[in-house]
Amino acid sequence: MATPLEFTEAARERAAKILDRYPAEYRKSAVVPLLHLAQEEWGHVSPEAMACVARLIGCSPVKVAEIATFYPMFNREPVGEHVLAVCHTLPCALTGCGSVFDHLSEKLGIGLGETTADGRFTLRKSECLAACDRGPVLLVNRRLHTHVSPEKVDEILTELEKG
Amino acid sequence: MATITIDEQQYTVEEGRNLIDAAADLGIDIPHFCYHPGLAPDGNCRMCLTEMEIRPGQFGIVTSCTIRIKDGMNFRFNSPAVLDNRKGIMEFLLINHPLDCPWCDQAGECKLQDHSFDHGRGHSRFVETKRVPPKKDLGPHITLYTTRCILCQRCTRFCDEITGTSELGVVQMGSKSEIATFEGVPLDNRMSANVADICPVGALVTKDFLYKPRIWHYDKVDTLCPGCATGCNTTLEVLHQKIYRTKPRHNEAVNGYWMCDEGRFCYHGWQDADRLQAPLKRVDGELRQVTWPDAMDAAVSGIQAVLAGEGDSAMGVVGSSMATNEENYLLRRLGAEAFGSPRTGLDRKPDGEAWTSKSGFHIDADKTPNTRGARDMLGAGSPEDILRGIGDGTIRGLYVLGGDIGRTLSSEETDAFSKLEFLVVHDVHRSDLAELADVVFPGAIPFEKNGTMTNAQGRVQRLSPAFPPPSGAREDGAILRYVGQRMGVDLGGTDPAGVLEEIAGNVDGYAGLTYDLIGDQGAMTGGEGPSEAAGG
Ligand code: SF4
Ligand code: SF4
Ligand code: FES
Ligand code: FES
Repeated sequence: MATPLEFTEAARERAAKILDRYPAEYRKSAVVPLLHLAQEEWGHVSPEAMACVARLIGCSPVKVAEIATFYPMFNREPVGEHVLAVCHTLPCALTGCGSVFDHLSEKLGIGLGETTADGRFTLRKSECLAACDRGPVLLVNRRLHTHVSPEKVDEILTELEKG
Repeated sequence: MATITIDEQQYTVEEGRNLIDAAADLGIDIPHFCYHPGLAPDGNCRMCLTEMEIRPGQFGIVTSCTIRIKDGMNFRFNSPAVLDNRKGIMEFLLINHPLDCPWCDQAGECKLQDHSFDHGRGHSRFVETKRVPPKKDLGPHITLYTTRCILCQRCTRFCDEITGTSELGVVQMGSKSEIATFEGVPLDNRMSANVADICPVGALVTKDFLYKPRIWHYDKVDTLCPGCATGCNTTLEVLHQKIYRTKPRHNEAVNGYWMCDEGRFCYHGWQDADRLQAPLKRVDGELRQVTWPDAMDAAVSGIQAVLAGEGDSAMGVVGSSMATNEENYLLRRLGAEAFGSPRTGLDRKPDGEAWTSKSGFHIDADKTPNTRGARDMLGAGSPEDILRGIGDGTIRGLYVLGGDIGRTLSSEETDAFSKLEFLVVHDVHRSDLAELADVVFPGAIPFEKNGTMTNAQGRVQRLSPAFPPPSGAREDGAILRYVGQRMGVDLGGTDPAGVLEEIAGNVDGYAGLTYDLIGDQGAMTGGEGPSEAAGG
């Protein structure tokens, strides 16, 4: 089996707090917050990270893999510093998400699912982000941008380059 | 009991029973995929939807597998809504299915095939490209044909509920969902191959049965697993005198719906053994093949020579926990009536490992199927007693029912048996024991036996032969009778049912047992432990 990774001391404390929220017999319910913690810790959720979470909640690792592979927001491969996800579900498609994606792709010089050579940006598509009345929608890391246009993309990118 | 209505007809069924099972009791088949009577209902496949009256006069769709019968329930099994739903579910399930029935090992016993035929629409409206995920090696015994899987999760639930090992899960989402193991954690629990039995389609297959003859060619033989003292009920699939597959046969009191992998695949060892094709006799220090009459002459004169020597009972008899109750019983009679009340022992290989699953399925440490029955029949003393008898010269000749391919002799045993003046052995191959014998009679393996065995719980169960012994070998009961005859003792007819009748009359705890009573689910012995009446 993949050798489980070990959380840092600080993450271990946070994991303990997360586990405290659930009664002992429902420890498994902590799987999603712990996977988020793992992703914060290591940038993506590798099999070794899943094994770490499985050990914490006391279940078979494949049960953690079920959850980690179900939610697309858990990165299974290493990603860039910033993850940009363009919503491509129908309402956003109707408001022009295509041009937003193409613009991003051209500016960053990468295609779908790719990461820039300097490791700063990863470009993705996403399913509906629940802001259909304000499309096109772009998710930047954990922040949602609505009514996005190619111009607004430039602004967002400049902002990110600064930060 | 509860009175329920199905399609305007009233029926009386067991209260609290699952609707699918209750309907099955009535001979009504509710099509289903994810429900299995050995697992908790899961309600995920939606094939079992029927209509139930949820308010007076108002029907709603429910999953039959999660309904527990209560008095007064009212169902519609064949309303347009129900039939339509089935058609729809079948269409969904077949969207990505490869329809590779012509070379699928499940063909002929596939629920998807059957339900497609009964409830499908007959043609596909799906014009898009099908997903073709590669097949996966899940563990030592099991391969997953990923394309065929309908995600009913019987297999994952088996590993969660029955073995408690949880090696299987469903990874990914939506149409990409598939059954998987975690990397480096294969499906290798001790009951893993059961997942192939319960997979309703051809997704999970045992490597052992891959690309074997089509399932409808086999003769099915209901018998017992000879792998341990649990005595799991099995069905063998046999073609041209060869076993191709063993499946567990349901017996709630013994093995439920399951069997262990070791037991399931043990037929190979027996079937591939280098069998004795003729009796053997020691001539000038070497074992030579001889004819049956020649071997009989040798055996009888050898035994008579021992009996003519000093001591009260210079012969000993050793029964076998691989042999049936009837064979051990006949051995006891042969000993008592022809060898002058010999000392009696029971041959058994050393214990292996016991294991109990989360659900309570038990693999016994005793890797022979009939220790309890053989003891009951023989009233056998300890194996040490026999060795002691040989050591102090009170046992000078021995008659042993062997026949366990897994049995090897310890050096102590080899030393003891070498000291014997005369040794007669029944065996199936040239075992350690046979190598020491003066006469070896080629007997039958458990898959060739007809009779009963008593498992560790004291349940007497029937064994049926998949095929006869090889032409040069004989059933052990027949050999014993032949020896008896040559020594002036009539051991009766050859029918094991008749011998059982005799056992019922003579062995404590077996009173009243008949073939009919034992049936295909076995019957408990009345008394506990070995009987007083048995033994010489
Ligand atoms: S492999 Fe078979 S048992 Fe397992 S989910 Fe798929 S169809 Fe069901
Ligand atoms: S538990 Fe024992 S009797 Fe049952 S299948 Fe396994 S070896 Fe055979
Ligand atoms: S479709 Fe883009 S947010 Fe809903
Ligand atoms: S059998 Fe009831 S939903 Fe699958």
